[in-house]
Amino acid sequence: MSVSKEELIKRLSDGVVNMEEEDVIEVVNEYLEAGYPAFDAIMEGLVDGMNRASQLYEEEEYFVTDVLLCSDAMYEGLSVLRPHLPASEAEKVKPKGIIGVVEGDTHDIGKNLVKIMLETAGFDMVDLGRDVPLQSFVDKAKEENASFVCMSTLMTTTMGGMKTVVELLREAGIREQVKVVIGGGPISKKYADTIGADGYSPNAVEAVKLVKNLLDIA
Amino acid sequence: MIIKELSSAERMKRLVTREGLDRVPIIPLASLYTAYISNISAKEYFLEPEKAMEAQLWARDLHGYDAGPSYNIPDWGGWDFGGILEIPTSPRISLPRMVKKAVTSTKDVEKLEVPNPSTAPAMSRSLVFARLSREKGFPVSVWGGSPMGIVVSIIGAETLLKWLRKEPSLVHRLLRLATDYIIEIAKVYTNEFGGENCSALATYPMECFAMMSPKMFEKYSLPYVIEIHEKLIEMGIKKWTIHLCGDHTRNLIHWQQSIKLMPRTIFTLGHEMDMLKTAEALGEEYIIGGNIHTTLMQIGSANEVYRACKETIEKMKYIPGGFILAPDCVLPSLTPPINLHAMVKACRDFGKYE
Repeated sequence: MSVSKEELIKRLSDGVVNMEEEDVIEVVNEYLEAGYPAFDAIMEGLVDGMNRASQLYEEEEYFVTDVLLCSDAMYEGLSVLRPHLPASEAEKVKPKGIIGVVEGDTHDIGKNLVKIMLETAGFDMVDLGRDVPLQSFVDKAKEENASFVCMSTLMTTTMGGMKTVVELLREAGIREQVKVVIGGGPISKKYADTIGADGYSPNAVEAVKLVKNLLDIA
Repeated sequence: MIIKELSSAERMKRLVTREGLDRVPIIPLASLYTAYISNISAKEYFLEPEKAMEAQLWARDLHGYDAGPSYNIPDWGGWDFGGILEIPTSPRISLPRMVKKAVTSTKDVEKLEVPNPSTAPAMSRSLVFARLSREKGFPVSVWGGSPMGIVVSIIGAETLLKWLRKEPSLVHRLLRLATDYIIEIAKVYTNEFGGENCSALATYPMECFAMMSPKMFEKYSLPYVIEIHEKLIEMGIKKWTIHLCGDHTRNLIHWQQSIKLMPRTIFTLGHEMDMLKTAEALGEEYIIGGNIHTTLMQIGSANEVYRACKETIEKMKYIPGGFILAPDCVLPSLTPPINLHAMVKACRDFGKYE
């Protein structure tokens, strides 16, 4: 007897919450073989699981380790499901953001967490990685027609780079179209205000709320 | 009774012996900042301990704070275990970065060995700095932890966080190696300088609540921290400074009950921790240092720093164990010198004991 779509979707969501990469891949394959639509597996299964993990993180039941492993499971499932999305879904335009760790700094856990949470929340994130040349934030924002730029740093020696990016966005004439959100160990709301960024987030969960708020997304 | 102005050495000694102080001591945790104001590059500062010592002494003299010279290369552990550390030359004041980690796969872990402190790139330089410190009459600072900090430097934080769940035995092997290296370093230092002239410094950034659950701290870090404290104390190292970076409130119970501590150990705290509550939890035997926000030191005005220091001093100066004014972590390298002056001035203006 074939397993119902709902049951498979629940197992996908649970697989993400339980950090079971292999289970997720197995269920995804079973789901696709049964001919169910990939989009529902992503939204109601993988993303739902990641949302549950985010909630557990917010409630301090889960820690960074858990969120990273949940996201590994989610991304494994996504990589199998994406090619099966109908063109109309795959090409659907989502708000786009550029994210990276500013030049001179290679600490990227915080950035990775923010990226995971934003992707889970439905944003299309372009990850520039770490130690990113400052001009690259601007060039990529222009190229991708991004709605926002997220920058992080853990080091006080490199935080000045964020201010430079804000200035470069202004010089490029796109500052008004691109919201700038910053975070990281030494960063504060005061610093965001000082350099003219649009917002500061102390953690990944808050970053989603902040971006949604800035872009006026419910 | 008002005590006449003490020298820094007298002040720090009397803080430990509880003989009464003229004012609250100041330890600004100044590292690369001293290179910044001495017109030398980060590369010179980290690779040439003689230049680091000069910068440290000039900065101490300029500001009149109470800390002795100190020297620590960021990511030193990973460098000594075989990673490749790069110190950018531009901008002049840039922190080192690990361009190749000592371990990039599970197989690499088996090949790792405890380095020889006398020849390892970072520790051999620390030894040169330690000899200069002794020549100038200062105690030497020896590494007291954390072993998890060294493991992060060897494999990177994200890999570590994943391996805590997926490869626990490899994490234990790495912690074993890091612990053995810390003990080996302490042996070299105590043999050369004598335990009585060594002061242990242990920092705990990775074990804070934002990165690791209290259960993980207990399961992974704690056994090794207990071992390090016991062995280093056995070697005669009686002076300790422990920096709890970030929020460690839920791990304090282990510092109270499980980890051997010398009386008058100094705990410096991140801004995330309530200093009064922590002082109360740890007890009157310990000295608390902290916790002016480093971001304020870098981007605030002198007046803002002065006001924040005043507030902190007034809140903390009479705690029974004793108090040291300090930033909540290493002083940002690009701190405007006037802001450190504001910190010192606040201490002179509001830190006097009557």
